Amino acid sequence: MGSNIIETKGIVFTYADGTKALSELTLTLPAGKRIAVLGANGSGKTTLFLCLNGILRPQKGEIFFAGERLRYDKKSLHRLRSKLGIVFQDPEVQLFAANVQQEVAFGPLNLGLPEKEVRRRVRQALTLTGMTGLEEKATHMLSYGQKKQAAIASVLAMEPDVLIGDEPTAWLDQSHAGKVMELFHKISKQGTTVIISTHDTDLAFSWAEEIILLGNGKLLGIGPAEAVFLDKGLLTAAGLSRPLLLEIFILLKERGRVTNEVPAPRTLEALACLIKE
Amino acid sequence: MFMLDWYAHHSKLRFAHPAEKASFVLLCLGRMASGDLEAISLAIVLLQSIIILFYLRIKPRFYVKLLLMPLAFLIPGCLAVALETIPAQAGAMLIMPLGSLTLGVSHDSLSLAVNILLRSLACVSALYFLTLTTTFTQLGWLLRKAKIPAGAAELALLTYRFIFVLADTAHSIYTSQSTRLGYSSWRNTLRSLGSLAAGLLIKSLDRSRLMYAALLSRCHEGAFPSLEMHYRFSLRNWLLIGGVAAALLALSRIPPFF
Repeated sequence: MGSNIIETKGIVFTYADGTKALSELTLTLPAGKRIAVLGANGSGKTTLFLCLNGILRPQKGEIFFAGERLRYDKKSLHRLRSKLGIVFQDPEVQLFAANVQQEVAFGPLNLGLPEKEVRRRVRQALTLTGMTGLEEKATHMLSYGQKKQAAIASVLAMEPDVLIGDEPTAWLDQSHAGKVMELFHKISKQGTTVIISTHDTDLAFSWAEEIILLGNGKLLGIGPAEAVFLDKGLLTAAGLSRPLLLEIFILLKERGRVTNEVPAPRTLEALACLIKE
Repeated sequence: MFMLDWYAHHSKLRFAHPAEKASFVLLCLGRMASGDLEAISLAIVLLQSIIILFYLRIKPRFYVKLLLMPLAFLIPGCLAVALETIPAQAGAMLIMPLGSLTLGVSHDSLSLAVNILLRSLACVSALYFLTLTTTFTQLGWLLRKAKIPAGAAELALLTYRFIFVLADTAHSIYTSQSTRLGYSSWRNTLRSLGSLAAGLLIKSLDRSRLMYAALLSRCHEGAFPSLEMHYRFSLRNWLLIGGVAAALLALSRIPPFF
């Protein structure tokens, strides 16, 4: 259990209107990795995250965080949420404070930290997200990209062990999306387990170490990125397509342009290097 | 509303100590509450207007619009005060027989009406000064320092934020309706407005549910703590406020207009 930060055992979640969002979902998430939860729209990604955070309580099954079974009393939930932060897909629902600084300070203040420490964390989170200088800016005056950064900063300031980003690049332009993924990479290097959900297989392939494939609330596949993406049947079942980079690599391999032994390239540069050889 | 907020965030005095701004405004309001000299009311209106127009550089058109809003209520109200039923033989400035009654404007009623008008304008202009220079974060700070119950201050904060969220949502629904000819005729307009209101309610409920989840995930447990802000006092500002206080006292010696 030591290397798994999160485990779920047969969790079932059905919404009040009868929508079955998660059915008998069992999975393990390794600590310290970059993990992508992949699935088409409505596959249960967000519901899973809300369950992990104790916002939703599965009707059946168990969730373990750092080896401990999730309990739903106030104190346990407080502890869980201080260690597992979620950046919601739409920053508009996350931002409530009048200005950026107050927004980012909200989480650390809830943790009961002294003012000095709160200030340090706010400063650090704003520096990491490139929001320095916007402390006093009103949240409603930020651009969409800045709102997203502020939402990420507001969770980072709590210094969680696990950071979850629900569709972190949704509605962002490529430059902002790139920055967000770079930031998540940086955070992961500091030892934080970073989980994102996406339906963009290209993004997941270039960024993630571990892939969790969901479809209709069920686990379709789990494992290292390459293994999951090579299994075309799995991807089709999930309603997703194979990453373009991997498609090209397979094509090159079939035509004998690259040697069979090399691992699949994760970036365009890596692919270019292979072709030259 | 949105322009006021914009001006507050871009005002020259946005970083000034909120207590200084509040003291200045309270000084004016307090003076208005304690005395009824027209000269003082007029002086405050002029002072605030000069600050707002020439120091804060608010566009005159916008400031006039701001003043017209309360004036729309004030003028009819003051007219009603000025006009009173009076006995026919009494000495009045204007007499209007109306059936068995006689309406008229007497010296006293006119003086009262002018007094109310000027006092109200003085208070309104002082409050506009506060609104145009103080961001919501600072107002929240003031509310907390004034020991207003935390619940009320937090409610105000959430309301403030949600006005913008609501306006954004309404705007996007309106745009999406317009692109599908939702406002092309009187009939369509009525129908679209109806569904806009309904849509707004549903979306707001949905959003508040999500927002609550987002708050919970950041360890929200009922309170909205806020980071203590440290503002710096400015000697210059306090001297100016003191000067205004002294001037208002000196003006008290001027005899009334009527």
